[in-house]
Amino acid sequence: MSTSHMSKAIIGGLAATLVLAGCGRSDTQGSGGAKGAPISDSPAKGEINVWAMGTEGERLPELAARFRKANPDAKVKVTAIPWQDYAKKVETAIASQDTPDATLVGSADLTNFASTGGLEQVPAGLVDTSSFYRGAAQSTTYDGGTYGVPWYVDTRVLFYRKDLAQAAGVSAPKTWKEYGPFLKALQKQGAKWGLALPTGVAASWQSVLPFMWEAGAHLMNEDNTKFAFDTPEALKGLEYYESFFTSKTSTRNGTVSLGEIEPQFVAGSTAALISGPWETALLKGAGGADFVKDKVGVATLPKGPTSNASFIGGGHWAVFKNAKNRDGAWKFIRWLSRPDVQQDWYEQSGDLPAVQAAWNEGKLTSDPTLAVFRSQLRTALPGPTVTTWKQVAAVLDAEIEKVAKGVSSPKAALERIQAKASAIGTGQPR
Amino acid sequence: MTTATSLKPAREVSSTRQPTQRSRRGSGHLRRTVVAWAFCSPFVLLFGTFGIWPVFSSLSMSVTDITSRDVRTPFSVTFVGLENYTALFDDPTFVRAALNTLYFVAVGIPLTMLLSLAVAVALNSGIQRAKGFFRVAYFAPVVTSIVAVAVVWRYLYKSDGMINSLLSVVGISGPDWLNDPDWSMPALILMAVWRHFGIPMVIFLAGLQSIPPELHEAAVVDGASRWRAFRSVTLPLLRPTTLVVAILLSISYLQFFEEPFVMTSGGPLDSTTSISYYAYQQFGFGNYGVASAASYVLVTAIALLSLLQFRIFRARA
Repeated sequence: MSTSHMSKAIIGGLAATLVLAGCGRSDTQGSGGAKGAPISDSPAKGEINVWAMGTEGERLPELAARFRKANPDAKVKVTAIPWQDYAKKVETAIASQDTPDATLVGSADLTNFASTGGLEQVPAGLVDTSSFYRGAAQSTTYDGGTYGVPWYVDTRVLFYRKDLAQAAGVSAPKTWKEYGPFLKALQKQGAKWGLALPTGVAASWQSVLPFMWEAGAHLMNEDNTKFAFDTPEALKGLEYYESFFTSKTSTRNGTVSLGEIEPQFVAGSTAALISGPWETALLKGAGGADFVKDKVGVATLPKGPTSNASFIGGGHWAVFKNAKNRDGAWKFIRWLSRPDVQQDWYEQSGDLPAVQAAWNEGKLTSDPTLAVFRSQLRTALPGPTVTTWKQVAAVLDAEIEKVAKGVSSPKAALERIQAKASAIGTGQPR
Repeated sequence: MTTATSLKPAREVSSTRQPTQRSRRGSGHLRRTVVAWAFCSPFVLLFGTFGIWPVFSSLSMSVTDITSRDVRTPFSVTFVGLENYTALFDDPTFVRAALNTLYFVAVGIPLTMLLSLAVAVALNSGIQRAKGFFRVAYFAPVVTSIVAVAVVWRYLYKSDGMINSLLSVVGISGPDWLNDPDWSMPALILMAVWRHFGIPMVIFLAGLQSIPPELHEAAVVDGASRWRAFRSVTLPLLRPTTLVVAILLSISYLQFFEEPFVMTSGGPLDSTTSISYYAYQQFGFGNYGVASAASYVLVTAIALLSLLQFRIFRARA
């Protein structure tokens, strides 16, 4: 009895497959088509539904209240969503065509969402693209269109034990040449490890790609259609990464989970680490405010043969094609990228403004740590904006780990990365 | 097989209701059917939508090139036959994931069964006092959130963690458990066994309690040692229980996911990536076709292993 049921069910499933098979992939899908109508300067109206993730989602309503003062007929309704798996929620919304008006998007995910055709292109003249940090603006483009407006940015810089450096009589390294000796000097002051580097955790690539960029690598060809990991520059960068392990400056078994490195840094067993703007708060939590004030130094990444590029991440705003209040959503986003609003938001959240002009006033100009971030942001680069980047990045993570643990040479790793990345492809519209 | 046994009592019930048989063919029967379906329909509807439908939609997805880019236009995908499946077996990461899953199943299931049986026997006979306390204590890991478990076990497994401190007391310098590709799997298996043996233990305990004590006493009177009595009386009578435990465990252990997800993210060097984790990753990359194919490999493996266990245990019973 059960077998006949089973075979019927299988036949049913196959029939469903054949239905799918009957329809070939149309050539027109992919990019979102033409830009929508321009947005007027009149005040926004109606309810604007937005999704925002993490602490941004919790704090945004306060900022939105200010928006309402200038736009009394509009009401911003914020739904806070955890960052964890938010991408699936956005994809599901796009697939079911039941979306809010706008959403915050992690900069690395924008390409993926844009490729589904569910996002609207940024209307012409809404914002001045050149007002943002270049790296941030770069990560809002996909297939010739612009699908997001940068809101806040983050980048990674060098955090080091200032007290150990002073005791050793060295100052923060400016170039690759000074980097190794600097870290060795800190190790002589009692630190077991000079620099904490990721060795196989998710998103290690964000800390390792900068070495390749600093050596002059591009990773993609000119028109973003092919990967280029098998270049001498990329090799130089990866060999430099490897040298930290062979010289015993860094441990081959880097920390596995979040929050593991801070106690080691506070205890002085690890003398330096590469991290983003959130690190100061984490170090305060682990060592107290005095520890951060007296013992933590911050510097831009040391310059390699070509540059001192770091990785740029952050959050963008995007509007859905199925938005009910499209104009209102774009008006809200335009308002969010005003320099004074960006400053307000920095005061409220600590998120670094994506608009360069916002950095010209208040605490953003006076704080020496922020000055370091500011100068790092000028050269920071995003990962390649292709839809398969997450998958290629996972290959990178795996191969980087092999180099770190000493089971693969940088050359062999890059050859495998190039082969796998080429097989995965860039996922541009077929 | 299970349906056949569950049908039996129903048939007996209907045969005792001779007087109502005439009305069965009439409107009463129809009304009863309608009422029955009305009561069943919420479940049937939910189970159909969230249980049955996804099974077949993922089967059809596994033979197409569907990716996250197609979510708005699901009918534009192309039929690719078994390409996703061949791609899987060409991918060294998947092969590694399959081997890791087998490793986990082959070592984890016997360990869990032995431990749960041992504890169940101990609870059933030895420890009379505070039995309830121990039952709860051993069952607690099952109901503890995996996140809380992960936080604690990550501490235990650190290179200078508690496990290595204890080992150093007896002169063994322990490995860096979660960072060493040779030790990461044993570490996760140990944790999984600890986390999962509660349910088999309760099932074994129920099985043990259903064995009439006279049988055991008779064996002892006949001069059998305790071990002999356990082997010749208790174990054979536990066979149906053992089958249930083995099948439940293989179904849940083949889906090995939570431990690598919270502890190692599949690393170091892919040493703890499982088939489920691989499928999860592929879904994350938007490769729904490949992910569905990986899931179906897993489904097939579960079906085959369950079938095999039925065969083995039925042949012996």
